[in-house]
Amino acid sequence: MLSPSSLKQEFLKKWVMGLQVCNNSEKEMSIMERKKAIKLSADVAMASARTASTSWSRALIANASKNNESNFIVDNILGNDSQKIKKASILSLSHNKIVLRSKKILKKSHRIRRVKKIAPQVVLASSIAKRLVKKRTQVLKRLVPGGESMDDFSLIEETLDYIVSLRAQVDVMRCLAYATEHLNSK
Amino acid sequence: MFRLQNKNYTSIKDSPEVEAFEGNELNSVFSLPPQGSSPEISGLNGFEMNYGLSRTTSYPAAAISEVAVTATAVTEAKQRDSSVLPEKMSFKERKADKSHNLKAVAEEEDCKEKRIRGCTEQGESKITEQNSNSDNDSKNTSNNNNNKRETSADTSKENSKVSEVQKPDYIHVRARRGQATDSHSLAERISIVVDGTKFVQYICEIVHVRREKISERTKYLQDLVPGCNKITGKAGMLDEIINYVQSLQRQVEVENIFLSMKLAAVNPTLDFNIDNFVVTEVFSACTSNFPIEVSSEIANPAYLQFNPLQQVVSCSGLEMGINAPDMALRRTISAPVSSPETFLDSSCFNTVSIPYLNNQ
Repeated sequence: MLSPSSLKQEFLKKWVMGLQVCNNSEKEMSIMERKKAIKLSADVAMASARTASTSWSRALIANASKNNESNFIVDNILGNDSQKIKKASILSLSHNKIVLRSKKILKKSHRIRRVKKIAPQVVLASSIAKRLVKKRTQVLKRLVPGGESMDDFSLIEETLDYIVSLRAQVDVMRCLAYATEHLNSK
Repeated sequence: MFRLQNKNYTSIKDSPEVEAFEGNELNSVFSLPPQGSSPEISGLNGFEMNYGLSRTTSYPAAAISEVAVTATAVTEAKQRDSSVLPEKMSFKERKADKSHNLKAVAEEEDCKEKRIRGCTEQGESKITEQNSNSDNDSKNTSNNNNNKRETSADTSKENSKVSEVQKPDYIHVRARRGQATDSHSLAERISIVVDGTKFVQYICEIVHVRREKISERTKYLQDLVPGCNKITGKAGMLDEIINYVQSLQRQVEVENIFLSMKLAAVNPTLDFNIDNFVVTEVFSACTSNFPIEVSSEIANPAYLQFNPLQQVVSCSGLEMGINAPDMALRRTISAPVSSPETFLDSSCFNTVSIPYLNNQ
């Protein structure tokens, strides 16, 4: 894992690049459009700052490169080997989709078998706890980009990574906001 | 004794879940005294088997009919057992009666073997679902055991001494079995079936390493997420993590909006014409005392750009002057509470429309 300061540097570098691209491409923007562009470039910058080694960043890049406009930004931020990274991320995404589908099928069949086999049982405390954990895991999977196709172990790892980079992102953004505020007041 | 055994066995047949496990137990029971078919061992085994199986007696027995079918065999076996059991008392007495008992023992062995085979087969059929790797091994071991038993049925004289020696070994296995029932991991179940200790160790190691890794990660997470180290239990921890991630995402969102407003205020046209040298300077500043130095670095060139701008900028600057503290307040208050997009839409309109009217 990168140290937080170097992660911030990397993120800021890429983000500024992305913002420049945004600025060059379109002259007039409403606030919402601007917000969207900033968010997109920040996401992609964050993902590429993690060098696309984690699956959440890959999912982010793949999602961003679906859209035509955002694809341009992604290309610019990722730089030289953008095609390679993009291809890999999209491939992994499609792979994840397949995994997801097979999991669904498995679950379905399992459910059917279960209904046949097991009569209604006494609800135990342990089973309740298990269900609680399962529910929360699913919520977490929805929160972390690309989390739908992770198992528990990798989910924890990815969440760790994601939290670190989100923190870095918030820090950098706050700094920039502070800077602009400072600038405004002058 | 034998009736109980039979009954148990049939009841096991009815309960599919227990079946595999008990089958395994049987297998392990018989596998350990490898030469074991002396009268004493057979008696002992039968006894212990009963003990092992007696846990399952509570299952609803449609077994009675089947017991009736095997009733004749049972009564015979019972008689024989009554003659076998007292023999355990002393070694000399047994020697005297051995010639008399040999036939009975052989018969017992036969019917037992049949049952054991059934058990192991059932056990195997379950295990194949669980682990295909262990399948072959278990088959091998069970076959070996059967063979051993068959061959040793003929040479029961030699083994009467050995049986007493192997008693502690048997107890050792029972302890292992107890452990296995405590923790529900698959690996430890397999350990019952597969006698090869290397394989068991290997799997245990894998499980252990995985657990260690997960606990390590969770520890990291607890360090990372504030207020998470007090909570024990997976669900509470996950709750905390979810909350934290959500709040972070909202923070990012709010910062985004805040920034977009600010940047719009600074200059709509020249937004990011910050030159590369500024960027590099920012990077150098990033490492030490991040917020203040960045602001000073950015401020100078951008301020210069700020001057030549016309009405639009001044107008929007006024707006921002009015609304910036308000926004800041909102940001601090509502960041973790509600979804920022909704309130921001409305607040955007406010900032855009009303002050503008005021200015005019």
